[in-house]
Amino acid sequence: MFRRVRSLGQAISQAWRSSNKIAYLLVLPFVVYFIVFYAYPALFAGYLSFHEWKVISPDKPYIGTQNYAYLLTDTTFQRSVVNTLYFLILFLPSVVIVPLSIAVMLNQRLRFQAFFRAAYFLPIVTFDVVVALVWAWMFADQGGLLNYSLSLVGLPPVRWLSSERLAMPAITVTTVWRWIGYFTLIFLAGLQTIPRTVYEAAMIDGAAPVQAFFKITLPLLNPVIMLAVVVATINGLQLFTEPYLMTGGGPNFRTLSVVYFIYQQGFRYHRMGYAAAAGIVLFILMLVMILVERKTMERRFEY
Amino acid sequence: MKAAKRGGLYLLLGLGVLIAATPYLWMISSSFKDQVEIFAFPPTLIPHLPILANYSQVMSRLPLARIAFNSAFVSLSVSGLALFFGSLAGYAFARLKFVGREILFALALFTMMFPAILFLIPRFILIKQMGLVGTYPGLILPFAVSGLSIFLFRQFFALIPGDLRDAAIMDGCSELGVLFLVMLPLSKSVFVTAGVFVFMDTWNDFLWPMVVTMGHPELMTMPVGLAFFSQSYVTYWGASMAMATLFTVPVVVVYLFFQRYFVESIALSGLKG
Repeated sequence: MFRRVRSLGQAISQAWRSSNKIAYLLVLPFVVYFIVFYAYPALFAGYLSFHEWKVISPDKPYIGTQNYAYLLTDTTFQRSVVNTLYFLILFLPSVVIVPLSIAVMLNQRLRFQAFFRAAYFLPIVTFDVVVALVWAWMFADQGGLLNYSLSLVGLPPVRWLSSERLAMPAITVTTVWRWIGYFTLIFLAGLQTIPRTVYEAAMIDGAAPVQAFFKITLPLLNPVIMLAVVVATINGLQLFTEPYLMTGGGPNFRTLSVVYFIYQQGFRYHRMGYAAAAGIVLFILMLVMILVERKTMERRFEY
Repeated sequence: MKAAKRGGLYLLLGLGVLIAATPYLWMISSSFKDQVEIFAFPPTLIPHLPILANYSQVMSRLPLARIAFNSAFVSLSVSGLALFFGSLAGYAFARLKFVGREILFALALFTMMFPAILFLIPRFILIKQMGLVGTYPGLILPFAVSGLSIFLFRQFFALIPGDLRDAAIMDGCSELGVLFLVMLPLSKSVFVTAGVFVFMDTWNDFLWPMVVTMGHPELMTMPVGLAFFSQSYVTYWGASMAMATLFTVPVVVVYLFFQRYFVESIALSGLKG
C-alpha cells in the first residue's frame, strides 16, 4: 500500500520534473480566465439556482429546488422551450439544405464566381441587429415589402409578425437569411477538399451527377455536415436578438425564446436565481441535443 | 441540353443574389424617404423626393462617433488580448510537455463549444460585484481569452518542424525567445484568421453589451445603440434604416476589400471539427 503511494508520488514528481515550467507561465492567462469566467460562473449559477436572488432585496434566502419546481409549472417557460424547439425544427434543415445547394452550385466552374460569392457572403458581416430591423420593416403590416410582393400576385396582405401562426416562421426566415452565407462558406470549404478526380472517375464509371452527389459528396461531406448541424444547434438555441427586436416575444408569447425568457426574468423582473435555473436548463438542453445529434448522424452515414 | 442546364444554374444563382441583395436595397432606399413616401403604395425603389432628414435626425439624437469608437475599441481590445493569450497557450499546448496538458487543452475546447450566453446571469453578477458594470473592462474581460484562438495557434505550431526550435536553442535562445523571435513571426496567417474571427464575434455581440451598458449610454456599442434608437422611435422606419445603413456600409466596404481573409477565417473555423 505504502509502496504504491510512494511510487505514484515518484511518478508524479518525475513527470513534474520533466515538465517544462515555462509552459505553465504560457497557459496561466488561459487558466485564470477559465476559472474566473467559466468554472466560477458555472458553480455560481448552480448556487444561484437554489436561492431566491432578488437584486433589490438584501437577503437572498436558500429555497432548495423551488426555482426548478416553479420552472416546471411556469407556462411561460414551457412556451419558451416549445418555441425554441419549434424554431430549431424550422431552422436546422434550412441552414443545411439551402447552403449546401448553393455551395454545390458555386463549386462548379462559373463565370462571375467572385461576384456570386461576395453577394452570398455579405450577411456574414452585417450586424444581427441590422438584419433583424431591416427584416422587421420588410415584414411590416403597413408599407412592408413582402405584403407589396403578395399584392403583385393578387394576394391579400398578411399580418406576419403580429400573427401567432406566422411570427415564428417569419423570424426563422430572417435568421436563415442571416446564416446562409456562413454555412455556404463552410460547405464550400468542405467541398473543395474533395478532389475532382473522384468525380471524374465516377463519371467514367457511368454515374449520373445526382448519383455522384448522393454516393460521393454526401458521405465525404458527412463530418462537415455534422459540424454544421452542431454549430447551427448551438446558435439556434441562443435565439434572442431577432424576437427581441422584431416581435418583443409576442404575439401572445409565441416568439419568446429561452434566452429571451432568461433575459426577462433576470433583467426585467430582477429574479436572478430563477433566471440562473432557466440557464442551467438551457445548458442541459444544449448538451443533450448535441449528444443526440452526434449519435444519430454517426450512425446514419456509416459506410 | 448542356446550355439549358448552365442557364438554369445561372438563373438560380441570380435569384439567390436577388434574395441576398433585396434587404440591403430596401434598407438604403427607405433611409432616404420621408414619413409619407415610406408608406406609399406601391413602394418606390428610388425615392421621388430623396431626403437626408433621417440621417441628420440620427446624428443629432445619438453620439455616433462615440458609439463607433466604443465598438472599435472593445472589438480591437478583445481581439488583441485573445490573440496574445491564444498564441502563448497554443504554443505551450503544441510544443511543450507538461503535466495537465491534455486536461487543460480539453478545457480550452470546452470553452469553444459552450457559448457565453449560458453564463449570462452568473457572469453579470460577477462583473457587477467586481464593480465593472458600465466600464470598458466589463465589456472586454469576459472575452479576453478565446478557445478558438488557442486551438488555431496550437494546430499551426504543431506543424512547424521541431528542428527549428532545437536550432534556436542551440544558438543560445531561451524557450521564450524561441516563441517570440522565431515562432510568432512565422504565424502571421493565424493572427489574421483568428483575429478576424474573434473581431467579428465581438463586433456583432448584442446581449452582453446591452446588459453591461444598461444605464451607461456613453458606453453603448453599435448594435446596442441601433437597438436603443429603433425602440425609441418605433414607427420612424426611415430613421432606423438610416442608422442601419450608416452602420452597414463601412463594414461592407472593408469586407469587399479584405474578403479573402474573412473567407479563410470562417472556412478554417468550419474545418476544425
